Amino acid sequence: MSDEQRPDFSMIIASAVHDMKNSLSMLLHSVEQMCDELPEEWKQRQNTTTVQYEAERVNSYLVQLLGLYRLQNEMLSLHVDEYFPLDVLEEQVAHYEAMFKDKDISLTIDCDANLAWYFDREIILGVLNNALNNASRYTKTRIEISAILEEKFLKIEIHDDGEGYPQRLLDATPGEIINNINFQTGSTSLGIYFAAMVTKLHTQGDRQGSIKLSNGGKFGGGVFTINLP
Amino acid sequence: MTLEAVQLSQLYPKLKFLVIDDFESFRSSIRLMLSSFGAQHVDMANSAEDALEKCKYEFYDIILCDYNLGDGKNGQQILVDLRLNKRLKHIHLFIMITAQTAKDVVLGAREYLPDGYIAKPLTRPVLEQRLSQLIQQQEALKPINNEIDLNNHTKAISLCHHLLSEDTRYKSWCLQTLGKLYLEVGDTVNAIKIYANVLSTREISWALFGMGQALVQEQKYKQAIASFESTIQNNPNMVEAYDYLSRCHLKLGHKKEAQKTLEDAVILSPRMVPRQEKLGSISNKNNDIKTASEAYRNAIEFSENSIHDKPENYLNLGRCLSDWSDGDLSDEGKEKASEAVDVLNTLSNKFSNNEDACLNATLIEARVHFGQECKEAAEEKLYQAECFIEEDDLSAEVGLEFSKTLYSLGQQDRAEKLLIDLAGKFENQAEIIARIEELLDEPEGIKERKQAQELNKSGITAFEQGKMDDAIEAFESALIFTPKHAALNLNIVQVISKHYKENSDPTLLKKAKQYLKRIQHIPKQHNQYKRMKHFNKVIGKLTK
Repeated sequence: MSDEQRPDFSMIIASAVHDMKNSLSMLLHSVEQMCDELPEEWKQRQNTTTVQYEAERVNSYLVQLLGLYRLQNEMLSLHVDEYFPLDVLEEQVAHYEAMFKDKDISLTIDCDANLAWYFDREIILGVLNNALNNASRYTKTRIEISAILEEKFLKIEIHDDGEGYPQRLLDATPGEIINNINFQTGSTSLGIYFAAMVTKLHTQGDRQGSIKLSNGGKFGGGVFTINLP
Repeated sequence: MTLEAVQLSQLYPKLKFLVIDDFESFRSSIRLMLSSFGAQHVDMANSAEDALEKCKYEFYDIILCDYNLGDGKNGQQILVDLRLNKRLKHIHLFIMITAQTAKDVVLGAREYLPDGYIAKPLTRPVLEQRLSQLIQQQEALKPINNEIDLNNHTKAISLCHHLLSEDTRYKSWCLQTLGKLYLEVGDTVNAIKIYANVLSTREISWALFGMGQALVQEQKYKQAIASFESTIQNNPNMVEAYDYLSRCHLKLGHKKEAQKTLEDAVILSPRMVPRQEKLGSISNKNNDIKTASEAYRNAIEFSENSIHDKPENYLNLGRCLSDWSDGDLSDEGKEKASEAVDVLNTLSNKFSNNEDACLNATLIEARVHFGQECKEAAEEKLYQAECFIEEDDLSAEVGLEFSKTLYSLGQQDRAEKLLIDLAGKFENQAEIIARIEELLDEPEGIKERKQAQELNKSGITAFEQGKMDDAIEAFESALIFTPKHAALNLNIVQVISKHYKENSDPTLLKKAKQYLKRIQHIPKQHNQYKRMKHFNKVIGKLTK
């Protein structure tokens, strides 16, 4: 096969992701329409939120997969612009609203409406999506997302009241995380690896973005922190 | 100040929505969502054509458009079309719904960006959230956008300043808009002040780009280049910055860099036809036929069924392929020649009403055949064209093409006479005169021209270093390729006249006279005419 004919793998993933997202959209719409026609007592069941939740997960993995592939090939460039963290947080929370209601999890946002900051919206949405997804699996009753400006960094924290992160994750570097993927438990930690990689791409002068996992926080559970310069 | 939910629900019934999506189920699902927010006026379109037609009769407050609409135009093309035709005002919202990640969507001109993106999969809570953000922003900025729509730039500027003084949530938007408004009214001092202020805290692409634009307006091209280069470094997908960068390089005479920059832009966004045309023209001037041909090929391909589908692109591709295949009888050369004939025939069929274009196509075809040593076919095409040509009443385009073909087919005298007549006729049109000069100087094929230009360059270098013999030798070799090149002949005469004063070699003087004689035909509009007259005198004096 000559060089010209060799397919560009990034293109293949990109177009596959694109098609799959369209399919997911279709799937979600159909589920929603089907649910509307269901008898009242059936609607109380949680099957629909499970479908939505899993679709969000698939969606988020797809985006991460593409992002990581591009990162590896150094093709991922950021589109940094100024955004309102509150808007971005509210948009991300909207994805999970129905599910949290079903699971009786309370979700609050603590962020100044006028706070504006610079980042790649799409990428940070992806990171938040994954963090929320994770938190929703392990929290018991509540999640709080806060965003403040601290020493020229935008600091976003996601607090839950679950058991907290296992020690091996707290100690691991991103490289170790990706090498310790555990296919048996289904916890691939891909999301954490992705978050670590893409926040690092956010730089301003000699300052660099980062993520941090810790335990304790407001509710004694896990805390996922994003720092953006 | 933010709009409360109550106000939003009062607003929804008043807004006119247009939903553009090629899938019925998506359209109705979005319509259902909008109704549940309180919207009462929701129109739907299933294709770009449908959408553009609807927008002819109605201004929509909010357009929700799927980026991917199957065959035909995509969402971005709809947006550009609407903005160009002024069917979408600043007070309106255009929201793109896309399954692409933003990285896949190459940023075009900034004024053709949608007001917001919403990513698929789209659900009701997400749409509600995004819409309320965008509507709130739009409401807050409506007074300013209104003035912009009415072209009251001064009023809009003062409203922006007013909003800024209130410590607004939309500070960044105001600064961006102020910069653009100052640029539009030509107040570069204030524009630069704004951009410099923003850039003092953070390197942000819109400010870098705006700074570059302001510097271009001030004709500070070198500084502008630095700004655009930083813009691209900051955001490699901002294709508009490449266009500006290329223009700056051209202004400074950096033709190679100008071409390279456009090539980068074309890789990012191949479908912009005017950019392809520009790349074709610059690379042609740089004697890079391969790139030029590819650019014109793309221009033709991507302009199908659009207003950009113009005969010039076909003619230019025909010219490039004719030059490329000239004298090349290999399989590759034959292929190029037959592609040229195909392209020119397509043109004649497509634009059969455009007499000049068809004539030019026939004239170019004659050269293609001649280059393939099909003399008879060439003569035949020339004859075909001549039947329609009235020499007293020639347009510049046909005249130039005609003389070029005459040169190629060996009718030098006729070609020269034609060009001299044309020079008189179009003496006030600098661009045409320049092309006449070019043909008179270098009627030869591109390969000869390239070699002559290289040798001319080394001749000038030798002359500047005082190496007279080397200079003469280089110019003489150049003249083997383009014997009638006016500047080249005069270069050699100039070297000889200087050299003669030192060694009084009579053979040199004889040579100088021969070279001068070669170019006595150039018309008085030629840029070397005065120089020729001058050296006629100089050599005349030396002879006495």
